[in-house]
Amino acid sequence: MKAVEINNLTKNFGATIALRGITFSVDVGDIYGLIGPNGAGKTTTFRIIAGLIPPTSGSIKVFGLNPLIDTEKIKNIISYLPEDAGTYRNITGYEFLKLVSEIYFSNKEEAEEALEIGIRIANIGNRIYDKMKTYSKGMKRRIQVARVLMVRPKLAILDEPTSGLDVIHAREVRRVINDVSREFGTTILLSSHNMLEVQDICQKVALIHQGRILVEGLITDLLEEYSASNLEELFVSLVRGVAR
Amino acid sequence: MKLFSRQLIIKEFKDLVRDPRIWIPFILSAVLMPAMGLVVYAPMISAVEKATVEKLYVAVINMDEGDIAGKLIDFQNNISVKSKIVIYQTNISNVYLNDTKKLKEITEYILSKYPSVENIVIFPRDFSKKINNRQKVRIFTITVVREITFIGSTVKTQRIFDAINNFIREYVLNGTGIKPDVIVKPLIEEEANYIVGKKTVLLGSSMTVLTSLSLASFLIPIILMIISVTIMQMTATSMAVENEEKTLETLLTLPLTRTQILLSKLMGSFTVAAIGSFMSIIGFGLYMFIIMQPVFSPRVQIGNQVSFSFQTMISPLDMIYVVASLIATTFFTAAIGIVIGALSSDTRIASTMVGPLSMLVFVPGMMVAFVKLSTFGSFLPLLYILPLTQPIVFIKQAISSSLPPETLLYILASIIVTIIIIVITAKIFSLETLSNLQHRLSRFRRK
Ligand SMILES: Nc1ncnc2c1ncn2[C@@H]1O[C@H](COP(=O)(O)OP(=O)(O)O)[C@@H](O)[C@H]1O
Ligand SMILES: [Mg+2]
Repeated sequence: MKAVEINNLTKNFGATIALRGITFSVDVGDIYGLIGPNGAGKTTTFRIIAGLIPPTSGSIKVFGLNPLIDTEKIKNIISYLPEDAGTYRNITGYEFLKLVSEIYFSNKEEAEEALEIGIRIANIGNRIYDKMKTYSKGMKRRIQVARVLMVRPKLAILDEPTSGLDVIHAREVRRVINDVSREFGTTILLSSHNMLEVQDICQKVALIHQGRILVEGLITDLLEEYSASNLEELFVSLVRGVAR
Repeated sequence: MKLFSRQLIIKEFKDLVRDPRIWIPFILSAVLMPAMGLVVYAPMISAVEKATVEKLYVAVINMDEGDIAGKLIDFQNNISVKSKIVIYQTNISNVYLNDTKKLKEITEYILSKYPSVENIVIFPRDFSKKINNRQKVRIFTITVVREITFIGSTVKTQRIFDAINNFIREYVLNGTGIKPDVIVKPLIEEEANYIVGKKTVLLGSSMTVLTSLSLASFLIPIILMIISVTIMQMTATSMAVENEEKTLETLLTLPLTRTQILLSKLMGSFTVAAIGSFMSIIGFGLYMFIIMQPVFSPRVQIGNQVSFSFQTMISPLDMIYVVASLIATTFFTAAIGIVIGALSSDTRIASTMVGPLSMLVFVPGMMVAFVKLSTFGSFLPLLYILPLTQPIVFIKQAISSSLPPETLLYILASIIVTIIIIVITAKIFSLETLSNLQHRLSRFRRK
């Protein structure tokens, strides 16, 4: 079974066509990147996969479930980090992780275990007991990533998890995602508008542009096939090709 | 040195004026205020008109030792088609006007014989003698109060005084060629009020008594508005912050239903709001207590000095019901705040919407405060349940009689109405509708 399987997905917002037939699939345990510029349709695709919004047409399967029908069940499979997700100002990082773990696990031991993992992933030391309004951007993102991964979902969807972070913090977040995926075998679907940064974390990517998938597959295969030195070069040459 | 920068002022002006959201509250209140006026004005006017033209049922106790009162009654009976005053003559011949207990007994006796009586007029023994001596003459009326309103009973009592004043003027000036209106007021008007629901007699002009009693039902919507504005502002902002900070999208992905999310949000913020309101209610209560001292304990004196106080009019149990209903209503306004916040993409829009809406919250309560409940006819049960009207209906009924045993059920129903609103909102409110709304707003803003 595939972790995610979507076929010919389209989405219109009134007159705006956000997705014009998206097809790709994610294997269990993979870190998969959906890469494209702003407005390409990444967030829309993720929201549809998570059952937050319905598609206009096309089919979606997440571990064999249809998000449109099994909306509540899907929420226990997918853990989702929205784009630009904010934090509560007057809640501490610790309180936030605790409340989320208790929402996911009614069993006390399970909740405590998740919380421990969360604290470890966040790795911000004693600052975890401070109110989140005092956190730096990097710390906030680490809390968010910890929040998503600590419940050990079958699938974690991370919408631009490194956007707005400086090089050091972005690297740190990528490393955490990579480590957790290895440790727990979590399937990860992430997006980025930065073509270069995904190369050292994703096995497979799909390049998305104006609601269409340009190419999809193993990064090494793609670079070889189009004889490009990196994903950015590949993307630019593909977009030029589309334009012609 | 200049005090201000012209450039910055112009920037500020342009920046604000170009934001269409700035105009929403101003335009809305410009429209809402007069609408509110109409809402209160229309039923008030119709109540006054009704009281002026409606048939008026009067019982008369005639103790006059002369014949003028008798003539007056005959005259009124003759013109009863025109004046619409219907008179029942009683055979009671002796009343001690200073004894409220006796007044109560007489009123109840008359009401048992003529249930539709609205006023009892008592002509004293020296009625004819005084008139013949060209002296001012006392007249005593008991207004039967079936419901506490600002108007209505008072207007009717005035009709009786007018009729008697007119008769005496014409009687005294008959044949002199002098116009009756040169005599200002031959009557010394003395009044008592019988509150049917309470079975009590309150001495004093129906105007004073009814106004001070209805003040309570008038105050409640004001208290409500003060509290609900703050609560709505609070819950709307806290919900809008979830939108603004994009924490709501996170909540929507947690293994919780939308109803759970909204209801938890409501419970949590309402608890804080309740604690805060409790403090402001205490402050407001003290303020009212201080400034209302003279009104709530008016020493309305006629003969025996009798005073009534506001507290003695409402039983402690009824007071608890009214307060519980008020809390249920603030719970409702908190829910409205949540709904506004959920639909607002940021806190500025949310506070923009709260202002005019809290004015709207005020309207139904005001209407109920001013209008006789019976005019609502078959809608009346609804007023007992709807959170915005319930506490006002309760206080009116608590003052004029007492609250029925099923009051607790009504309060429960009011809370259920609130929960239903949240559940419906949860049904229609999704990330789809939300993101569409926000997209439309951002496009609207760009224009
Ligand atoms: N609710 C909406 N209403 C109208 N247009 C939308 C809505 N959501 C997204 N869009 C449009 O759909 C396109 C894709 O958006 P999105 O999925 O957010 O792109 P990305 O995440 O790749 O930057 C954009 O053109 C965006 O303006
Ligand atoms: Mg996006």
